Amino acid sequence: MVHETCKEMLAIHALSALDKADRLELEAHVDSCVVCRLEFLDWQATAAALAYVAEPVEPSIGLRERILERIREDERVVRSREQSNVLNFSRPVAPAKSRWLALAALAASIIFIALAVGLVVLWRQNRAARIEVARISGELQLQEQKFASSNKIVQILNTPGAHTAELRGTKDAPNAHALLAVDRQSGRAVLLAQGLPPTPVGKGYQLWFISSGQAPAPGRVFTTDAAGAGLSEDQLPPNSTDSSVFAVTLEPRSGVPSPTGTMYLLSPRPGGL
Amino acid sequence: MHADQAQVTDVNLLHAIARRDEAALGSLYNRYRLILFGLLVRILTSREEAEDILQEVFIQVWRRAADFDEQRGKPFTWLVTLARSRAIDRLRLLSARDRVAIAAARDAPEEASDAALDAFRSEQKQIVAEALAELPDEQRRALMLAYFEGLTQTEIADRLGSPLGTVKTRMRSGMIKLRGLLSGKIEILS
Repeated sequence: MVHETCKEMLAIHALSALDKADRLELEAHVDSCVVCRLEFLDWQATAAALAYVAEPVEPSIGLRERILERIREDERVVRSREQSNVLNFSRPVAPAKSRWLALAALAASIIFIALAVGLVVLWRQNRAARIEVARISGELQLQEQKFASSNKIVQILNTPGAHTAELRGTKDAPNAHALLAVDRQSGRAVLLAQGLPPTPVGKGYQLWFISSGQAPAPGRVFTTDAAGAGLSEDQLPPNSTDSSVFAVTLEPRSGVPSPTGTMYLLSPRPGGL
Repeated sequence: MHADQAQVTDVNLLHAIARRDEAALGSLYNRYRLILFGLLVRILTSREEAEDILQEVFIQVWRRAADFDEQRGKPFTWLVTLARSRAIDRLRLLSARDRVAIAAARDAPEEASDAALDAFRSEQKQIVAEALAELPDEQRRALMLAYFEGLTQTEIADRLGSPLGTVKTRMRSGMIKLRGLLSGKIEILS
């Protein structure tokens, strides 16, 4: 519909007197035409003036109160909807709770991780401590063994007629040395060795008592610790009480009647007991 | 009440209503109940129907007061347009038989217009009455049928037994002349 045609219809539209087809076309045009929209407002004011033609009539006395009661009810409904909206928004307060729960869960996770890390640290510290304790304990045990060995040697040396002999390392164990204490009255002998190579599996160091003109008499087999230290408590063989030379060879763990293996310690011949 | 002050007060009342001021709605009702109810009774020829519509109008005012734009018109125009639109809608929902009964029940407005105009007491009413009195009878009759009976141009042509084109011309000419006669004389058109 063209603009001019619409303009001619605006006054009739203000009276609501257009037929449906014309009204729909005009309304579509007015929606997009500012000029017609403004002119229509002017026609509406003219049409409104015709209301003065009607004789003023007093409505029922109770109508005003009924209207006010209706708007109060309207307000109650609005407030009720707002409250229900508040509830709807409160429900998502569940999200707020969830946020707190999530934060609590996060905090719990952090605490758990911290505790786990702490436990790992403590466990490592404890492990290190236990290792250190074990090391110290081992060292103490070794010192106790050394002390016990020394004490055994001292006990022998305190015995009247006891003698000692020093054994030196051979070329196969130049850093090795040993001290042998012998009580010829009781036949008790204690050997304290140092600096021997680690004992091979299935092998052992065997002490030999050597008397002049006789074959070496076998003593007991002993092993060494990681530091190459070893202790052997022995008893002089029956025919070896006058032994003046002592030696240590590497033999089978069960021991042998005659030396077969490499010699690692030997007492100097002139230094006989 | 001074005209300008009354208009400002009307606007203020609508602003107060928009702020959910129940007393403001009561004041607006007191101010316009007579003319609006008279208009509705004239259109619907039923106090019961008219009260029903008047109640709906003020509830709509309560709900839509915030939508009122004083740049687009006077509060009086807005109220009358609301009331008349609802009344015409109600009228058009009635069956054809009911509408015939209503038409028969109502005083023939075009014939009673002079008597009605004589009854106008206010200056505004007098101005409108005098303006209508200056219109040719066929123009005034067509406008009254449209305004108070909610008839369309085709229905008016049928009622008056006149060609549709003639009715359109009469109505448009009548509105243009009415606007010219009221312009500068009535506050809602100032």
